Amino acid sequence: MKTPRPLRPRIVFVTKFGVALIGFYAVVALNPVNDHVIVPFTVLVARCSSALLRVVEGGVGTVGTVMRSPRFALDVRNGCNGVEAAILLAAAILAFPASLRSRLIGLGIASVAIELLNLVRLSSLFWLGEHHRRIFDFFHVAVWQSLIILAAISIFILWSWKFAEKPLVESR
Amino acid sequence: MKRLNMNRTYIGLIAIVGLAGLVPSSAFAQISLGTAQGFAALGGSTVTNTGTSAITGNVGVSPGSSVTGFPPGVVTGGSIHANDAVAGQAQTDLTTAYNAVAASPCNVDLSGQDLGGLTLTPGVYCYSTSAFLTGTLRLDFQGNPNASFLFKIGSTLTTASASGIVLLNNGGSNCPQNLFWQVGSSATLGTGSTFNGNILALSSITLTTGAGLSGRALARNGAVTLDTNSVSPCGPIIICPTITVNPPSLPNGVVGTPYNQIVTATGGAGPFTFSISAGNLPNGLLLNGATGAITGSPLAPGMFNFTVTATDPSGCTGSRAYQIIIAAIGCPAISLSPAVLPPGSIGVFYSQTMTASGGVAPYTFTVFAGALPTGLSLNSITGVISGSPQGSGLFSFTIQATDANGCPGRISGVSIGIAAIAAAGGPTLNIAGLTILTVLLAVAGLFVMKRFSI
Repeated sequence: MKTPRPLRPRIVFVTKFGVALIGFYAVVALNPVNDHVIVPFTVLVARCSSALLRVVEGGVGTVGTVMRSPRFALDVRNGCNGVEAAILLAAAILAFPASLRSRLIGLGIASVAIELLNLVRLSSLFWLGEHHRRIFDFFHVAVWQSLIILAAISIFILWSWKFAEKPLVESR
Repeated sequence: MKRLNMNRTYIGLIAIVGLAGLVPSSAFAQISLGTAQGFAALGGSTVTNTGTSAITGNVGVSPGSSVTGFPPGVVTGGSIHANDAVAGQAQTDLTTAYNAVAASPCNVDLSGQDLGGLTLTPGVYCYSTSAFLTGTLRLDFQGNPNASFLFKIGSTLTTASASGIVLLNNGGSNCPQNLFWQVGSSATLGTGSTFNGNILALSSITLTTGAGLSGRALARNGAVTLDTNSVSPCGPIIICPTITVNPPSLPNGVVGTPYNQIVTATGGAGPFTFSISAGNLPNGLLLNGATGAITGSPLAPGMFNFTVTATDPSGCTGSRAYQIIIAAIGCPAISLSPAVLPPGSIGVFYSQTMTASGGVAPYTFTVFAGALPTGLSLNSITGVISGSPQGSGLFSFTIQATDANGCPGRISGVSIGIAAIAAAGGPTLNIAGLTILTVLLAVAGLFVMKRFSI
């Protein structure tokens, strides 16, 4: 008994997605990768977020991964840097049946979009922490998570819709 | 006969001198309450009221902060100042007035005598220990409503129930402005008694039920306790503004080099007069009381601490403490940087370096004034301010650097803001978010594949 033909690509997709996820997380969990890639990247994220915030408000600086002003400080830790969301999206893109070129385009667009959105997230959360501390947690836990999920799903659907390897039967 | 006339002359002179010693003289300095003039009741620790007391003027306390019983007590023509700058300045001025009365030489020693039944003329009256008023005290102003009565009491002042003061020949005014009671410990006005004058007590003042005071109850260290009283200061009630002396600091000088700086005052109605209320200017420098200019050429090196007080025409004052370092000839101007330090946050390691230039290395760094944030310290050799801040707030301080030749330089107004919250930026997606996104991505992928029949 073979698996019906239309089902096989979908199982392959889910399997590849899972394997890619595990692979990415395994790589990120390695200490050398964490120390030499993730942590410096997190520092860069904190600096970029501060720079973005300084467009509208002065007095914000960074020390390491800590964004700070005289009134508020925010420690951008692993997990706050958007890497995990980008990994999920990248795993889905890599697993999806598309050409290599399409996948590379997807990886580039998705990673940049998620990280840019995360910079806006961190900047806005810092601003809320400074000026509207009471709603900081709500935006932190509820609003921005929903927005990131919505953005990731939207990017993936748009990309897969455009770049999916459509079978010949589709074009007949 | 001639000898007899001469003796009479001597006797007459001796009698005049003797009388001059016995009769109180009103030729003593006028006492100014400064900003305390605006207060009807001022305590050092607390002001406590019971019942429907009616207070005309400010009610305040400093350095304590507890003012209770308003309402039911009513304050008119003023407001309540609980350990604010106004009350603090009033306490300072009260101390000045208290000391001024205490320093006035006695004309008559009334120690041991009950004030009740006495008729006194303007002057300075002293009690070595306690003073009592039982019955009625008569104060004869001799036609001058502005005549001064000063009572210096070594320990307590106590008035009996229903006792009072009668004012004679005072032009019909029932409210003498220059009647002061300097009380070495505490004052207690008896039930239903009436009293006049400004009570300046070192400790506490208690007005028992129904006592009336045409004057002020001003306690330096202790409590003012009221119970269904009326307190109405005599004379105009001046609500003093907060007068600020500027600049915050004065530059240092060098021996023999002309020095010219101007202090100004803001917050009150000018013109202001300026004076050195504490400490001393460097030798060779003078303060112009009218313009506030500090000019001259310093004569000797050293560190000089002094306080400049500005007084407006209403007697309201403001002060600022200064320090000037006069360097010996040959000392260069030593400057420090940076003037602005980046903020820190609680629990996050902080490290910034102060540097000095202009002198001869090595320099020694010290915190000259103010305090670093708790948890931070200054390395005297390297100038590094480092540590993990333990408390939040804005911390201002002055750093001094001394070069190898002992020549000093300072930078004041350096501040570090320590953020109260070092919030950990939460994950972009928590476990729930990651799970949801994983599932949604898988579902979305399957959906698109199904849509295109992949």
